[in-house]
Amino acid sequence: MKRSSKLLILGIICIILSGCSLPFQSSKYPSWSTKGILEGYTLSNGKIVGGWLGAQIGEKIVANSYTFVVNKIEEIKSYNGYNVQENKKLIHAQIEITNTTDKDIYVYDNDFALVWDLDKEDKNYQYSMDPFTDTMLKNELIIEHGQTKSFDTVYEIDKSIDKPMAIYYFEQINGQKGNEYYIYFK
Amino acid sequence: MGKKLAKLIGKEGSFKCHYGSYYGIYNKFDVVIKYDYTSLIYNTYFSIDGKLNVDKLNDELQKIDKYAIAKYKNNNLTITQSCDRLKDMPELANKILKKVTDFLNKNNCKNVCKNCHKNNETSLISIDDNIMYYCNDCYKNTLKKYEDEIKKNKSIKENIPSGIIGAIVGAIPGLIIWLLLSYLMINPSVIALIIMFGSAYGYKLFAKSMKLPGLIISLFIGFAIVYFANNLSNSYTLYNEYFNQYKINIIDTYKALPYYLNNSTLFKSSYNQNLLLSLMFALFGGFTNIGIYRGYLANNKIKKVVIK
Repeated sequence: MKRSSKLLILGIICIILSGCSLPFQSSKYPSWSTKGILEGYTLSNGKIVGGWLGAQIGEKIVANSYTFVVNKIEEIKSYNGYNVQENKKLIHAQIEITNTTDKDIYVYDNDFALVWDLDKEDKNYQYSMDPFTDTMLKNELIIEHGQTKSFDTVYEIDKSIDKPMAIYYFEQINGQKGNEYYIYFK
Repeated sequence: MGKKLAKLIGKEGSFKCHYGSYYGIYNKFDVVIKYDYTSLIYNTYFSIDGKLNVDKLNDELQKIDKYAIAKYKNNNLTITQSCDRLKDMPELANKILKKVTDFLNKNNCKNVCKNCHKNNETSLISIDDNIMYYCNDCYKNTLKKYEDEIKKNKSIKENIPSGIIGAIVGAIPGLIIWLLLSYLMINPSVIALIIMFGSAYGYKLFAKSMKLPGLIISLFIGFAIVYFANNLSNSYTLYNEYFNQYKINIIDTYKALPYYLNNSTLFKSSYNQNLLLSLMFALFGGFTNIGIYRGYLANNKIKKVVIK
């Protein structure tokens, strides 16, 4: 092998080696879990509102009216016989929710949206598909006092949309603005 | 300018200028004159042998220039004088040269080779671009020694894989100091010098040699580790800023560096400033690598020179 070829190969190896100093780095939104509610303010009754919280899959989130856990988020090809359309993909989440108040509460079909473009002021989002099985989130789902319910949310989004994404829940307390919750899928 | 001034020193044509230094023979003594523009002083160098009373010589010099000082050590006589303007130097130097050489002759001092200190005939030789007066024997000996060293260096086979490991291992102490200074909130950019130094000597130690591939590899590894270290210290800065709010560790902030570089102008500016400063220090440190590499270069760096 010519000397110049050897040097070229060495040079390439060196560049690759120097590239090793950047393992796993990403310019995407970091999607870190927060230590409690950020940027909120405390009401006279001690409740924090107007803030937001970031959490990971499987992490138990204590909201004002209930606790919930997103047990699983995954990309799937089909859901209960429904096949994904061309240039689209299906995201399936499994959510478990427990009513911690002394009265019944409702969960609506526009709760737990899937959001992306997390670093942008105006984030894009998609609600769960209209339910076609008993296990899917339906509008005005009643959760009785002390009861725990599990349901699926399924989102059909454009194939080009990439992680990180998040399951988003905006909590309202007696019709007033509460906190925002992001459960990251990255 | 230099050539014109050289003509004014000694007898016409007896002194020559070479890169700001003046070389010539005055009253059978080899003389080198070097002018320093920063301190505005110039030194006149002689290599002599004999019993020299330097105090008496200083007394003699005081009569013509009260700022002239003579120092004598290991057969080297150095006369230091101040001179505000270079163009005044030949006039001052001529007075001193006459006084000193007369004094040396009067005290039976002989001109000697700078290397062996023997009263042999000398000529100007260049050793690694340093020009000095050597006798023929010393020139031959030095040349032979140098050629032997070249042969020896050529025969040493460079172990590149070991060298790569050596360069990385050598840079680790610098990396540790870098992190320590970052922890103490002190700008660690200057440690880039130590990292480059470590990568160069680490490579040389493990590879047993450093030729052109070794130079390239050690420089690349050195620069890559400086870059990596700068990333680590900036990750630590991010960690310090956000660990109260987020469940994070330094690995998380390290992974998120590109995001903050894209989205925070303040952070990007600070990051780039630190990186630029570090790379500048690394560039200076890179001269160590080049210095080691030059030691293994098979070029004849010893030769007789004729200054025109």
